[in-house]
This record gives sequence, structure tokens and C-alpha cells, in this order.
Amino acid sequence: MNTAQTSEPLSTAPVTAFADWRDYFALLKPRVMTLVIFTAACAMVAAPGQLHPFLAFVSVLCVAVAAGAAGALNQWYEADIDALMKRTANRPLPAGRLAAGEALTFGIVLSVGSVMIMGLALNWVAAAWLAVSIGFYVFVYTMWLKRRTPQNIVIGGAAGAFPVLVGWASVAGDTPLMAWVLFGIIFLWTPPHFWALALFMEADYSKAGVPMLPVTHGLAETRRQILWYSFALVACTLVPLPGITGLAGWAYGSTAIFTGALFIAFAVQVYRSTSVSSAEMFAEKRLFKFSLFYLASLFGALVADVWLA
Amino acid sequence: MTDPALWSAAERAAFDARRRSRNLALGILLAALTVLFFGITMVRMVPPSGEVQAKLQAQKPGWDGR
Repeated sequence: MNTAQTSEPLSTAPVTAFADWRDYFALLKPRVMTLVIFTAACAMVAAPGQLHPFLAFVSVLCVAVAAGAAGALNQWYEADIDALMKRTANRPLPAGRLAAGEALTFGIVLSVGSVMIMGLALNWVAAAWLAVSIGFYVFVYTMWLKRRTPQNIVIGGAAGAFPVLVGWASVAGDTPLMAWVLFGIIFLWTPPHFWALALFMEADYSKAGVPMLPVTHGLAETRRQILWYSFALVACTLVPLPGITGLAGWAYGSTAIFTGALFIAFAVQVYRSTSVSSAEMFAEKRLFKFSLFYLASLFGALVADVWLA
Repeated sequence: MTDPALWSAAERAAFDARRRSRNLALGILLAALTVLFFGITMVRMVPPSGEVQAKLQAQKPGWDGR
């Protein structure tokens, strides 16, 4: 039976004993959480308004827990394909250290809890965006699109972009143009970032039957798409520049221009690359690593602008 | 899951250690939630600053009951 074709979640190994607390922590995908916390916190600093430091901490905590909850629900649903990929086979569910029901309950409790606390402690606009972000990641990305379309990463990018709206709304109580520009930056950053990873992890995705772009459309088409999305991304990062909309200052502007030029240069290298072996995909690995630095530097510069003002 | 009655001493000890660590983590989590709710309540109950107080008074005289 090809487990990758099943739509029902499946725990692929028997539960052998009660899990350790570390297994529950691993369900939260803490490494993914880091990026979400960082972008949401930067949006909070950039948003106009004042927030008590303790409430700011509560807001970041809610975003982190909600991201973790979405990760737990994602792992609950994807235990079957996680078992097929080397990178994910040792996660608590496919490794048999946790039962599927436990992971599902854990994810639901954390989702509801984080949204309620956000609403009660901060405001219900932020809580609503938090609920949308969890729902989008679990229902739209994980359950609906991930196994059905090679554009899964593009749609999934929106799920990763919602936390900036949550962060901004928790301070300002609304989501103006600048919040949506930040949303757009993360949305457009996600495809080149993950497709660069997918290029050198193509064998893993192929084995699991996930329709990632390199699996369905080949390496050359993926490289072309990376280049186009890189142009769109850099264009979006230039929108807040002084002289265009003036939503950000020159610390952000100079960073966006300099790192954007480098991003395009690395994307062009990927476009020109003809490597088919993962071990030889140096340009792809370089773009993947640089994309992490790129996003961090853009949001860091945004915060620097606020502090310098 | 194998029958707990058939566990060896080592398996029993490993199981107990995992259960202890889970209980400890749950206890810490509950304590943290208590502190969190207490903190939120305290921050939300802080009386408005002078500037906000003046605005409220201008909008609705007698807002403080006087």
C-alpha cells in the first residue's frame, strides 16, 4: 500500500511507552517557531503605538504557541509521509513515541488557548488573525493543498506570513499598508527559500510523494520560478523605501537595496546552475542559507529604523 | 504497546523516569500559566495614566464616580 496516497493521518509505528516531555516539545517544530517569533516581534516594534512590556511578551508567547500548535496539527496529519522522509522519520509520531490522538488533542488545546489569551489580553483583531493563521496552515496548506499541487509552497508562504499581521495588530489594533507589505515580503520570500531547499532534497520529497515543484516540473523549471519570485520579492521589499511610499527609513532602505541585489545575484546563479546531484548543488545551498540571513536583516533593519527615529 | 506486567526492571525504570519528567513539565506549565494570568490581570487593572485620565474626564465628566 502506498501510504503517501492516503488522505487519512496514519501513525506508522506502535506507541511503545509514554512519551517524554521533549517529544511534545518536538511536536511544536521549535526551529520553525523561531522565524515566526522573530518576524512577529519585529512587526510589533515597527507598529505605531505603545504596549506594556508584559503584554508584548504575552503577544509573542501567543504567536509562538499558536505556531507550535499548527506544527503539532501538521505533524498529526502528516505522520505517514514523515515516516518516509529521512529528515522527518525520527519525529515523535512516525517514530512511535506518541499516539496520533495525543498529538491532535495537544494541538487543539494549544490553538484554542493561544487565541483566547491573545483576545483577552491584547485585542480580538490580533486574536482573529492568529486563528486565521492556524486555520490556514492546518486546513488550507496541510490538509488541502500540500499533497495536491506543486504550488503548495506558494500558498504555505501565506501561513508563515500571518504572524506579522498578528504582531502588528496586537500593538496597533489594525493592519494598515505597511503590515501588508511585511506580509508580502514573507509570502514572496517563502517560494525561493523552500524551492532552493527542495532542489537539493528532491529525492526525499519524491520518495514521500509530495508534489514539490522539482518533483513535478523538474529542476530547470524550479530554478526559473525561483528567479521570478526573487525579482517579485526584491520589488516588494522596495515598496516601503523613502521616496516610494516612505513607510520605512534609510536603515531599512539601504539594507533592502544591498541585500536584495545579493539575493538576485544568488538566484541568477541558481538559474544558471545545471547540477542534478544534491552534493553538487552549491548555488542552491548558498541561496537557501542566504535567504535566512536576508529575511533576518530586513526585519532587523526595520527595527533599527524605529529605534533611530 | 507491550503489557506493563511483562516489563523488565530497566523498562519499568525508563517508563517511571519518562512519567516523572512529564509530570514535572506539566507542573511547571501550570505554574507558568498561573503567573501569566496574574500578570495579565495586574497589567490590565493598572489605573490609566494622567494623560488618559484627562481624556476620559473630558469625554465623560464624572467617569470616576465623583
